[in-house]
Amino acid sequence: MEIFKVVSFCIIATILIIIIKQQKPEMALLLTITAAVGVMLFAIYKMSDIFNLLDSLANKSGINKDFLIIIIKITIIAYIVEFGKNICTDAGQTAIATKLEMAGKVVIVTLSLPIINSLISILTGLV
Amino acid sequence: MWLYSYDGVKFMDIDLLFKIAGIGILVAVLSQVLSKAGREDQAMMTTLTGLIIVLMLVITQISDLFETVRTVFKL
Amino acid sequence: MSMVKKKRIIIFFLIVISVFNMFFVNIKAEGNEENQDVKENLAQDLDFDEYIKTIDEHIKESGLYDIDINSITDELMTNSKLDYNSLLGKVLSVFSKEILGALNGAISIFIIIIVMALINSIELENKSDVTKIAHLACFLVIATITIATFIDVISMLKDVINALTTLMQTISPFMMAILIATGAITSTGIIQPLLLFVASAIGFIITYIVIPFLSISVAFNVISSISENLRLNKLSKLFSSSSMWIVSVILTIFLGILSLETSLSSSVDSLAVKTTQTAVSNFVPVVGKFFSDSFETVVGASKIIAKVGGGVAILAIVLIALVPILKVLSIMIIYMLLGAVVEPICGSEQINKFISGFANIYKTILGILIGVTILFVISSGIIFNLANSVVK
Repeated sequence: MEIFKVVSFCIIATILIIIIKQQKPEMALLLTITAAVGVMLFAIYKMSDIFNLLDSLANKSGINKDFLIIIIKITIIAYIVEFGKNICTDAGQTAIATKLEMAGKVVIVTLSLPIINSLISILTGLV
Repeated sequence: MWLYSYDGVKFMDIDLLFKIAGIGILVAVLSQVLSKAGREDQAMMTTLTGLIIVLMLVITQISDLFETVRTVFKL
Repeated sequence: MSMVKKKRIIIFFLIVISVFNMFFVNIKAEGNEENQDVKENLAQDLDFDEYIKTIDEHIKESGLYDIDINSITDELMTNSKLDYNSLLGKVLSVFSKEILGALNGAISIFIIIIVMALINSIELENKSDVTKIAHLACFLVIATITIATFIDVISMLKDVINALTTLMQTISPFMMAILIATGAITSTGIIQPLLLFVASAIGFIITYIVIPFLSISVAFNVISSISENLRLNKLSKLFSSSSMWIVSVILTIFLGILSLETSLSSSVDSLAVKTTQTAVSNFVPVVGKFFSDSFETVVGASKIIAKVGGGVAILAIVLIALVPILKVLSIMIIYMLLGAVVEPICGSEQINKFISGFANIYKTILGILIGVTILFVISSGIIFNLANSVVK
């Protein structure tokens, strides 16, 4: 059961962080980043199976793959921006966190412009 | 010892955690000793050095993360 | 006049009368074959082959290539039984093709929804704005796909209504000829313009009223799912159900008028035909009975042609409308399944409401299609029934 490994990893990390936090807060932050990145890597590896299934489904059904790629990019951007925002807030820097969030929003909207384009063209084709 | 491996990239490196924690404790102790001994500047230098070393390790880890994301999602 | 001349005249008349009698007996003895010849001649006169050919073209245009109307017609003419098994098999093959096509679109939507569910399940902390925007982007993609499907269906609806209307307009000259051949003259005068009016009115109403209503309903659906503040769900449902209502009201009115007119005018016609028959057979001396009896033969033959023609017409209507009906049916089924499957996976309600709203709209479209088909089938049935009701 791999989930036990993940849980124990996180608990050990938390304990270490608490120990170090009083002495050297910056080290604690770096420890947080490491632990979070590590667990995220595990999660992404687990997602690769799902993602392969989605990919083969998309290939078989012959839909437009561009849409799928855009959606996935947007999803990943959402994740990573969320991650960075959390780390910044943990360190107490909410200003940076909110600005990062805004930047993420802007990037997502920019990425989704082609979708809006195609939707509008379909609608005007109807009328 | 690492808990997971994918394409040779080590995930959830307990070793890494202990390494960083160890460096952190070491740097804390050293800087306290040095500052108690009156060498404030050297204390600050060790702190900075420790930070830079740990930062290097973490950045390696983060770049691994992004590389994995790119390969898994085939972007 | 001398006795010889008188005798000659009498003998001459006797010979003429006996010749006529023999002729008459011959006709009766030939019986069935004569019937067949009459049928064929009548068919040629009424351009039966042209009629069958036009129906064939209509059916081929609507995409059912396998079904051969000519062979079906011949079978009907000879032993009046329809080969249901092979027809059913062909219909099923078309149905499976349509379901596969609709499945494609549904799979793409499903994939996007899975991705959305992933986002949902992992960013579970707060409704932070980044996740909201990612939601919105996913929703836009889903909306694009569903709206593209909807536009496809609407244009197909327009096409099929056009095809049915032109089919009815093509049939009407033939129907008129058959009805006159069986003697229903008054009925033809009334039914003919009524039928054309019904066909074009239905086409007009559906193109200019029903389809805009449906589009408005879809637009409201999309709007109410994008923004959480603006709730237009009920309004959307109102538009779609009112369009269904309009079509059913029109159906009822027209069918009512049609059946009323036929029952009234068919009694007038049978009276007129019987009167003419009696008059001809009694008042015209020698050939009167011959004429009125052969009239019944002709009417009998044309009744068979009318039955066959009517059966083929109804079959053609059903077949032309069948493909779109099956397509809309399969799309609707798949959307309902999708809605059911998505509901536990995806947390956001907007997708759920969006898909179930769409399934509702497709249900309305299906109802409208079936209603119009039934209208045409029943009116053709009523009209072709007229042919049998005049001369018993």
